[in-house]
Amino acid sequence: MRHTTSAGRILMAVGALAGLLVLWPEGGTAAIRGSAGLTDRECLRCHGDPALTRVQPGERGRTMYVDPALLAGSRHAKVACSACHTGIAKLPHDARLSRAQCTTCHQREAKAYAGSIHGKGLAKADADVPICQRCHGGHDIAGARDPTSRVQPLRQARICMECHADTRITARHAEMPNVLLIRAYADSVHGQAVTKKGLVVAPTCTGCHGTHDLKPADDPGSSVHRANVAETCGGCHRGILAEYRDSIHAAALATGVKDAPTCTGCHGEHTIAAPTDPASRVAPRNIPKTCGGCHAAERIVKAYGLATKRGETYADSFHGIAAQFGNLEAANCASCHGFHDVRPSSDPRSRVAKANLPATCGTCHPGAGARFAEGRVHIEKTKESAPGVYYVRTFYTWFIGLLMACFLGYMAVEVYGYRRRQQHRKQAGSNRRAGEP
Amino acid sequence: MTPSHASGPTVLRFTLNERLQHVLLMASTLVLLVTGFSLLFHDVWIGRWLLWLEGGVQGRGLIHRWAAAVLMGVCGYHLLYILFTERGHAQFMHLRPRRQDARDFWQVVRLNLGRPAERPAFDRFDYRQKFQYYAFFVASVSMVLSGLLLWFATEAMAVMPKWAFDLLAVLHGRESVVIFLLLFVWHLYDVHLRPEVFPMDWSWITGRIRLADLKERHRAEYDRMGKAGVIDVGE
Repeated sequence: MRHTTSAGRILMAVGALAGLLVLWPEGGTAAIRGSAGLTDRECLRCHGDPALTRVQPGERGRTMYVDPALLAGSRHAKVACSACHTGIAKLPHDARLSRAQCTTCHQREAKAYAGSIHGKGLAKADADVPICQRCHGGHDIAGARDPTSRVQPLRQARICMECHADTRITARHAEMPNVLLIRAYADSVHGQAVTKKGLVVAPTCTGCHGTHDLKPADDPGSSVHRANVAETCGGCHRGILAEYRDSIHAAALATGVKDAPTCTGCHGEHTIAAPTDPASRVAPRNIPKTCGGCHAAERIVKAYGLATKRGETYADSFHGIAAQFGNLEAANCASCHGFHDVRPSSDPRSRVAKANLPATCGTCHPGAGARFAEGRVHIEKTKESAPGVYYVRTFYTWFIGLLMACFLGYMAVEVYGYRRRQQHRKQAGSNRRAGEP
Repeated sequence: MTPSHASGPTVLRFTLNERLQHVLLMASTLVLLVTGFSLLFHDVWIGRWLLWLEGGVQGRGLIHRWAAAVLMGVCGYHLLYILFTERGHAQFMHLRPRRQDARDFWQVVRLNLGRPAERPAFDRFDYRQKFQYYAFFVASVSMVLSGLLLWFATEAMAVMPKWAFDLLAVLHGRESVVIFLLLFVWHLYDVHLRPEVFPMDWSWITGRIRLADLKERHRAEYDRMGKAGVIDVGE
C-alpha cells in the first residue's frame, strides 16, 4: 500500500463509506462523517454563512451558502457533505472542487445513464446535456416518490421541458425532437390524466421513454423503438398487449415488416387521446382514416399484397356514409374487424372469417343469419365479383338513356308540329287577308 | 295573367278527393326524392349540403321513412279508392290501356310531322296520361318493395344474402333517377310546357276544365258527356 496516493486513500474511504451508506442508510452519526474525517459542522462553519460568495474571474460572484434547513429536509439529510463533495484533503479546500459525485452510491443509475443519449452527450463534453443534478436537484434532493421531488410524476414533465422547450438548446441540437410534438403531450389522455386527474400511474415523459437509460426512438435499445413500443405500452396496458400479440399486425411486426403498426401506429404518440375524444385517431369517425393511412396507401397495399379499395368500398356503403355524416353507431373498420386482435379473414379466429360473420354482423343486426354471410362484404363491385349489381347498373344506364331519348324525341316532335301549325295558321291568315278585297 | 279556367264554362274533372291524393303523392314523392338524392349524391356538395339540412344521416332517414309512409298510405288509399268506390273504379276503367292508344300515338306523331293523319278524339285519359299513370305505378311498386326491405334490413338479413342487399340498394337508387326523369322531364313538360297548356294545366288545383279545352283535348269524352246531357254542348 506504499504506492497508494492520498487521493487514492480518500477514494477508498469514500467507497467504504458509500458501501456503508447503502447497507445502512439510517446510519446515525457515523454517516454524517465524510471523507478525510470532515464533519458537516466543519463544512457549515463557512458554508453556513449566507454572505459566503465565490468570486472568480468572469463571474459576478456566486453564493456558496448552503441552507442547513434545506439539507436537513432532503433525502440526503443523513449523507455527509463530503460523501458527495469528494476530493477534500485539507481545509480550507481548493478553490475548485470537482462536481458532486452521485455515482459513488448510485452505480446502477450511473451505468444506465452512461448508455443513454444524455450520457453519450456528456461523454462528448456537451454542456447542454442534463447531469444528475439538472433533473434531481442538489441539496434539496427528494426521493422520487416524495411530493416535493422535482421528478415525482405530477411535476416530472416540466423538468424535461426545461431543456426540450428551450429554443437556445434546441437551436444547437438539430437532432432534438420538435417541441410542438412534445408539447402535444399536455393535451393527451396521458398528460390530462396527470394534470387534470392527478394520477401518478399515468405515464409522464419517463413513463414511456425511460429515465436514466433514455435513448432516441431509432435506437433498437430504446423503450420507444418500434420493436419495443408494444412492450412499453403493455407495461401498463397489460391486457391489451396480450390481445395485440395475437394480431396480424404484431405477427407482421415480429417478422420485420417495418410498416406494420404497433400501438403508436394507430393511437399516435404524444397526441394520444381516448377513443371517446372526437379528436382521437381511434375515435369511431376517424378510424377509417387511421386504418386507411396504410390500407389505402398504394405503396403499402402493393408491397404486402393487401386487399385493394378498402376505403372506397367502405365509404360508399351505408355504414360508411352513415359514419361520415355523423352517425357514431354505424360500423367502422374496427366494429367488424376488431382492433387490437385484428386478424385476416382467412384466420378462423378472425371476426370476419366466413363462419363468424353472422355473429359479427349480429352484434348490431340480430337477424343476420348464415344466409346473409353468403355474399362478399365491401368488395369492388365489378362484373365478376357482383354480377347482379353489375347487370342492374348496366340495365339502368341504358334504360335511363333510352327513356330520356324517347322523352326528348317526343317533345321535339310536338314542338315541331306546334310551330308548323302556327306557321300554317299565319299563312292562312295572310292569304285570307290578301284574298279579301 | 288570367288562368285559363276563368274564362268560359267549366266542368269538374277531378274531385277534391282525387286532388288531395295527387297533392299528397306529389309532396311525399318530392320529399323522398330530395332525401334520397342527398344519400345518392353524398359525395358531392349538393348531397352534403342536403344531408346537413336534413340533420345528418339519421335525420335524413327519419324524414325519408315518414315520407315513404305517407306515399304508401296514399297508394293504399288509392287502391281502395279504385276498387271500392264507384267514381274511383270508373276512373280506373278509363285508364285501362287500349289498342286505340297506340293508334292515337301514331296519329299524333304523323300529324306533328305534317303527314296525312286523322286527329285522334281522345277519351277521358289520353295515351300520355295513361303512360304517366302506369309508369309511376310500376316505379313506385319497385321503390316501395325495395325500400321496405332496406328499411327492415335487420329482419330481412335473416333470409336475404348480402349480395341481394347490394343489388336492392343499387336498384333503389337508379330507379329514383327514373322517377325523377319521369316527373321532372316528362310530367312537368306534360302539364306545364306543352304549348296547349302553357304555363300550367290548372285542373290539378281547381279540379275543373274549360268545356272548350275538354272538346279540344278529350273529344270522345266531350261527346259522351254531351250525349248523356251532363254538359251543354251548345248544339
